[in-house]
Amino acid sequence: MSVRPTATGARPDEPQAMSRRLRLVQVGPVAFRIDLRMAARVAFATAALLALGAWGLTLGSFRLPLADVVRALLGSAPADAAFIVMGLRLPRVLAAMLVGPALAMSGAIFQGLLRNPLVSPDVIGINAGASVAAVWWIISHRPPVLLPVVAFAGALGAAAAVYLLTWRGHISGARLILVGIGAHALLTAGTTALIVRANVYEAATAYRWMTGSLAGSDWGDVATLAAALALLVPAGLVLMWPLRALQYGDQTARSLGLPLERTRLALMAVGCALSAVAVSVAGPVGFVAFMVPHLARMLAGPVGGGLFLFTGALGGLLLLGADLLGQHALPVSLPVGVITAALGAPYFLFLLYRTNAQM
Amino acid sequence: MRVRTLLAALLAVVVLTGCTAAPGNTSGPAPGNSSPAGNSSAGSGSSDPAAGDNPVGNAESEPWTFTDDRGVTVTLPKRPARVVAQSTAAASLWALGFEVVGVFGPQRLPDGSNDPTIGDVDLSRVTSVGEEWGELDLEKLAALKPDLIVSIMYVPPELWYILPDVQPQVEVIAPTVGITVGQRPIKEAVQRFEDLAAALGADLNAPEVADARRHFDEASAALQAALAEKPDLTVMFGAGSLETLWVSNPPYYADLAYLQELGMNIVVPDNPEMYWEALSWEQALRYQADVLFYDSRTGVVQPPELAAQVPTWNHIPAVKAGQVYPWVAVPPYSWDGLATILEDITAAVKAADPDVVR
Amino acid sequence: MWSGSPARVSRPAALLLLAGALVVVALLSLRVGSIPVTTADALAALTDYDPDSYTQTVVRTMRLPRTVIGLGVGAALAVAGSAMQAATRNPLAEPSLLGVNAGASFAIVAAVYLGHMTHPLQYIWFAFAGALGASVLVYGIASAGGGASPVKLALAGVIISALLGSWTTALLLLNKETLEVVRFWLAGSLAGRSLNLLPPVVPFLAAGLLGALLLGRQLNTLSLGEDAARSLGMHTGRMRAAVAGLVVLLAGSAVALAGPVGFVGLAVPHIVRAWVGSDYRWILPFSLLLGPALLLGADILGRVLARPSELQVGVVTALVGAPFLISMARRRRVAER
Repeated sequence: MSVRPTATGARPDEPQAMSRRLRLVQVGPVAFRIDLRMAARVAFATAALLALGAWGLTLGSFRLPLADVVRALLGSAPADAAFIVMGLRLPRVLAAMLVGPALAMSGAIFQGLLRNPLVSPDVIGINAGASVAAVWWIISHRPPVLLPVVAFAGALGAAAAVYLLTWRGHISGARLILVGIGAHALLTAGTTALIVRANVYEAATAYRWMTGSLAGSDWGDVATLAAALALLVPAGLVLMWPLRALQYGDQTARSLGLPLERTRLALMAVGCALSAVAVSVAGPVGFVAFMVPHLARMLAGPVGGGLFLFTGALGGLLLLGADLLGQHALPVSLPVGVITAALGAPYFLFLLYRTNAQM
Repeated sequence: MRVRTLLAALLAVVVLTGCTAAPGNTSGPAPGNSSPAGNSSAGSGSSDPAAGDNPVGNAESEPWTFTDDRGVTVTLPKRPARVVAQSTAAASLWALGFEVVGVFGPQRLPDGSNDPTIGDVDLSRVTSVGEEWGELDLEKLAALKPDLIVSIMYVPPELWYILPDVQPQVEVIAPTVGITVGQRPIKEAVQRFEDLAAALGADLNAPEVADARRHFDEASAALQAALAEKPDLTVMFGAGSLETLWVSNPPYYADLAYLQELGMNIVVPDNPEMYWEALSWEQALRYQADVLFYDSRTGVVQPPELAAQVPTWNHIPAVKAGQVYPWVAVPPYSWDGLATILEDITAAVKAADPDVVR
Repeated sequence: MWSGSPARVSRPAALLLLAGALVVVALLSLRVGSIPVTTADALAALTDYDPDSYTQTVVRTMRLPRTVIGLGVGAALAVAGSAMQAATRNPLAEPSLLGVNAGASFAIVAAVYLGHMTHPLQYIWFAFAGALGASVLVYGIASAGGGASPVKLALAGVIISALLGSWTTALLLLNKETLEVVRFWLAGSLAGRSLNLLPPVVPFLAAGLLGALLLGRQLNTLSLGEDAARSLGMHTGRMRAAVAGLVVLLAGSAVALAGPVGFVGLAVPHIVRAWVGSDYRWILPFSLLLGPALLLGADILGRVLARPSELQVGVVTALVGAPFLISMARRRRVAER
């Protein structure tokens, strides 16, 4: 009956963190400690992400030599090449590069906040809220233009309901998980009821949306994602220190002068918003929010701002890699949500297989 | 610091691509035509809304226009030659003598033969840009350089097999035409395909097309006569699984709507969810009819298995009377194909006992 | 954990009451449904069956099988859930966490896709094999490198489930006909099941139930935690493996019969614990009775609410159970530590 607070995400400072090479950087009145190794990891992952994105622009059933891709990016390509690169490939690649981090960072926030390694926005009702709203919208043939808005509203509505239902003077992590699971089950049942009532084509469209897909990503999606991330990533970074303090336990956090409930609310809000905006664009791509934070911790150690960014970069890598694989590596193209699990799970299982029983 | 540079880089990318995207989009409409890009849902404001009903501008120099069933008027500088169509639409146009260059939607059965949906289209002569639901390959579509993309609509304005999330991009590649096939008698739908085929330059007076049309008219007349002889005959259309019985709602099915027009008394369920009313098998006797036409597609549980597995199936009057006949639930939109189906129905009507249910 | 039971009624008496309630629910399940049936007809269908009577046909050939199957499935899910929660000490644990539902679903979707099967009797073995395969995989990976800790077990379960779920989705997206056949199965339902599904499954189901009921004391020890259990001389690794084996038998049987019915395995143990305290020697028999009562109740609701159609029992259990779980999470200090 106990949630084990010491599982993966929840271990604050390990001894070896002390021995890391830290550097103090001062910008005006603010001072940062920068972990050079972590900085290098983030830089490496970001570079890999950009390289993968560039490669992705050259892939597709419409054969374009690299020169044409470059020319299209510079705006001097013939019309068809320009459309393929600027109208189809680039927005999709950029959407993947932004959706992945949003999901992964959201997962990192929730796993840290709730101190349970099994938690991600997928299981506490947020994605289920988006799904039930979107599926209802799809099978009742309402204007598709508003689908992202509806999904976004569904996600936030579910999150708000879970938060309010959990609130009893304060927010307890364990209670939030239970309420979240209840909400998830309720909303998923609603989705199932809708799908069973629909005809098979409506059901197929709904399934496709619920799998998570980047097909049809356009510049509007990219702009939405970029604007949201520009707002939420700094907010998440600022909240990493309080999150770390929370993991020492409520007592410690309080003694550090942290306003507990406001901090939790802020973390919830940022985590939900990150997840909701990703889901509204790409559908509830599974597994990324759950898995990437684990991967990042296994590869790079304890919670902190650097890890947060590293998690984001890994999320982008996973999602972009999965989308490219799903589009180009198989005889049929599959939505990215199918691939994220199929691609990420074996690696994660391998890591799990190698860790010893202490975790 | 890292954050800031990352964000700055991100913003730079967005701004940069935003600027280059604008020209990319306007010059985007695929090569070979310079149509007003991607705003067909707003209606391209033709001054001649009826133009689509007649092939105007057969002369190569005049602009070509067609108004589809969404009320969208497509205007092109010349008559489109390269057309990509959804399987049903492709089959219909093909049967009327117009050959498409590309298709999307069902094409082949597992044994390699043509899926019934795609009719007599010669698949070796057309390019596939996607077979499964939601698998439209936009790059392949763009590479085909189509002048026009045609699909059908069951629930206008949704184009069949073009999922909403990719529709804006499809509209950039070429203007789309939607022909409504649901919620209208099937004869009207085929006539709309005739309008389109004629506008595209097909010869509707060609002997094969005229013969097919005559075949259809004769089959319709024969069925009408057979129904007139049995005014009391009631008919139900449906499908089932081991858990559910679906009673079809005639107005939503083009073929059933036409059968009603010919005088068939078809059971209309009380509370349908658009296409059908779903019933628990306990409710198998809720609606009763002399004859049951049952969905004959391979994915649907067929009567022999129902008889073995669903006890209440055997209590249905039409089943007891042995008056269950196959129903081609996804009919072809071609005169010949429909004529054959009507002939089969006529045979069933002639053989049926109209007094199973009084 | 709740200390002691709010014992206004003694536990044996409460258990008897619950058994009585279950009998009533089972009879209601024969009497109440999509069409009205008189009590006389319902009884005659059991004692003096006339195949020509429509209502008797409904009771005898449709409601009786789903009631009997519902009893088995409800008991299996609830007992499996209780055992899982004890062994993993995680309130989120339920049978599907071992990958059972995902494994069965994938196997069935694959069987329908590749073998064009349409009938439960054809794919029941696929469901069972899938459930077994997935859970062996989950357990194997989790216990590599020295014992299956609860967290590793749960992680492996979630991952394997996600992996199999993605493959299932891929097959469904590739083939609409498969989607058409299995989307109803995937909702979890008791409708359209005939009694000849039972014989192949009953041995596994019975073995699982019996085994679990005999392990009450060991589950008590296990639920104290790794260190406490070891200090009491328990070989925790072996015990967890045994529990996992029983859970697979139970949950595999349930999913083979009814499809992936969620929530019973998760909610019933919580409800029972709130009622009778934390002694698994009592939790297990209470779960054994409450599980089927809840499942049949949900099935009846599904038949009545959506008349003339039906709502799948998997949908109803969640729609009814979830608010209950939420309100319980609010009322009690569930797992708050």
